[in-house]
Amino acid sequence: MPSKALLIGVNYLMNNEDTLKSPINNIEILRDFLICYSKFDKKNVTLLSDLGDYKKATFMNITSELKKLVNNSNKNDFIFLYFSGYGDFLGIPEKDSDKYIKESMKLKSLYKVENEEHLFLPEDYNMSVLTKKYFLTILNNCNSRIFLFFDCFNKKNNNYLKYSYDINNKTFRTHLDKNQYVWSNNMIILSASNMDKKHFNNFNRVNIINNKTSKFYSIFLLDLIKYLFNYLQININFNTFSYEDLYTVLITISEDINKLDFYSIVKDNKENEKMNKSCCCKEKKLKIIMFFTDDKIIDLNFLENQTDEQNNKNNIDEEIKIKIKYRDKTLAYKNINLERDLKIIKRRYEHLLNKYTTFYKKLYETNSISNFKLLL
Amino acid sequence: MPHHITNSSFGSLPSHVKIANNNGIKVNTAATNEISSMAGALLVVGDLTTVIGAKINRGAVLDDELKDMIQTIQQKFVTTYMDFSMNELKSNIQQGYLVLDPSTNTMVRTVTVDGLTRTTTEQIMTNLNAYVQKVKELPGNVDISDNELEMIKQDDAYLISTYALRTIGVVNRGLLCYIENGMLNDTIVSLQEERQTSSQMQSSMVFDITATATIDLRYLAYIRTHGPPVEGVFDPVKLAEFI
Repeated sequence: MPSKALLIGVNYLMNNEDTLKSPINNIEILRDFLICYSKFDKKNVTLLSDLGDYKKATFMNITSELKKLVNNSNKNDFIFLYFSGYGDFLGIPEKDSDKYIKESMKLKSLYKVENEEHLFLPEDYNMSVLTKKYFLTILNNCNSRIFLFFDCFNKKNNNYLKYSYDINNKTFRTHLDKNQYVWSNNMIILSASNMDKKHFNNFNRVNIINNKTSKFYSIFLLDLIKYLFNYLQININFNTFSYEDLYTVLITISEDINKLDFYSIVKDNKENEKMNKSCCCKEKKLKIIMFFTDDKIIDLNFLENQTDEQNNKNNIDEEIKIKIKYRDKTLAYKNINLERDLKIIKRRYEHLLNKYTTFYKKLYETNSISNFKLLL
Repeated sequence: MPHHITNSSFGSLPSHVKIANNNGIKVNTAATNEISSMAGALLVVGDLTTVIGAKINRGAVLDDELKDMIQTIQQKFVTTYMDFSMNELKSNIQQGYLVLDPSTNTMVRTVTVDGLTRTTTEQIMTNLNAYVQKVKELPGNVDISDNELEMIKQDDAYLISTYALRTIGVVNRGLLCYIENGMLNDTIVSLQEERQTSSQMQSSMVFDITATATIDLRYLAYIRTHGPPVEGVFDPVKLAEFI
């Protein structure tokens, strides 16, 4: 029952203006976390990037690796997919800049916010991009449970699946859209969209997972790993950590990152929090949504495959059966005792009835019955 | 102060040969050591050379013929090369150098050999080859044909003439490098001039570009099946079918 992971981080080195700093570090720190702190085996974790000694993160390579994963996995497996880079578009150039004018002249451009179908831009985004339909075609044949994690810069969190948790608004939604793509497998999508480049390319001198120093990381990923790491310090594994718990964690992270800084006005922490809560018009720097194909998945444990889940269910059923058996045994014993008591009482009753009949007969035979009646 | 040159300056010879020519030739030109190590193949007798005796190992004689030839190599090739008089060296090799004909007391540039007019570089090489052959055939030497190593053991005159021949080759190579360098410099200068001219022009430039383009076969398969991509972007779902 292996857990397999495909981690893709694209820094877009081919385009100087759009280069990102953190994706390569994101996939490396996530790999270290999965291997060292979760049940992922080193050989089952694949990295694709345009930096370092990894296979290039081109459309062809990504598709090939995804297909390989899908074809070699079954119900007993768990697939973890992570994408770090640009989401839907490359960003909006500064107004009145040459680039802005040039791109605005084009009918279609990756610098425009209009690509609702796009989910991720690979290294060779000029050739092709990864869309919703693309993921549906490739991943829908998979029997394994899939956790698809987008940690992207510039991403519109559109409706992917039927059920979703909106972390920023703390709401649970059921999408009734008829055009919604129908996913047959168990799928969880965590989509984090960083709208602020500073948050996506956040400089960290040290981190909690590995010894790499002075690197750029996505602040969301780093916070999530920190929470999971701290959870594992107390609980050893994720056997009691459900997606609902993850939702709670995500809310904390989102509030922390999206917090506005009022320290220049108010020095007090409590006052600062109050002002943050009352501020409703602020634009979120980090938008997080968690999607599910089935609402029952929410109660399942994080990183758990279908077999694990089945095993847990079987274990619980077994326990219930044993208890019922015990209970039945107890009731039967009680029943026998009662039956015995009932028999004794019945015999006593019969004995008394006999006595009474004999007595009555004697009275009747001696004609003393009338006297007796009179006496009564 | 004159240097005492042993055969060790000739290059990688067997150790026993090194000792054999201890009493050969003494040379006092400062350039000799450098040339010997650079070419790995030379024994030079220059203007300042003092030949002490003509005793060559095992009876071979360093005769006037060899002396003259080596002197010419020193003067016309090695000295010009060392002084970096490359134009002179170029002229010497390509057009032949001037030789004073003592019989007519005139300077000649070419020499006629076997009815063919050749440059003097070729002449000296032909002479050296002929000399080598002659030494080989001397009665004191045993002819062991092509076994050069054995021949070296037999006669130092053979050795000297062989390395003198090689020296011409080494100097020639140096000259070729120099010429090539000059040609490259010329190209750079002409390109710079061209660039200056073209940048002054306001009209758009036209280039002839030769490049090797590679395309993934899967893209070709896509184009064959679905036609060229709309707006240059391949449909990911259709493209994924080919992977």
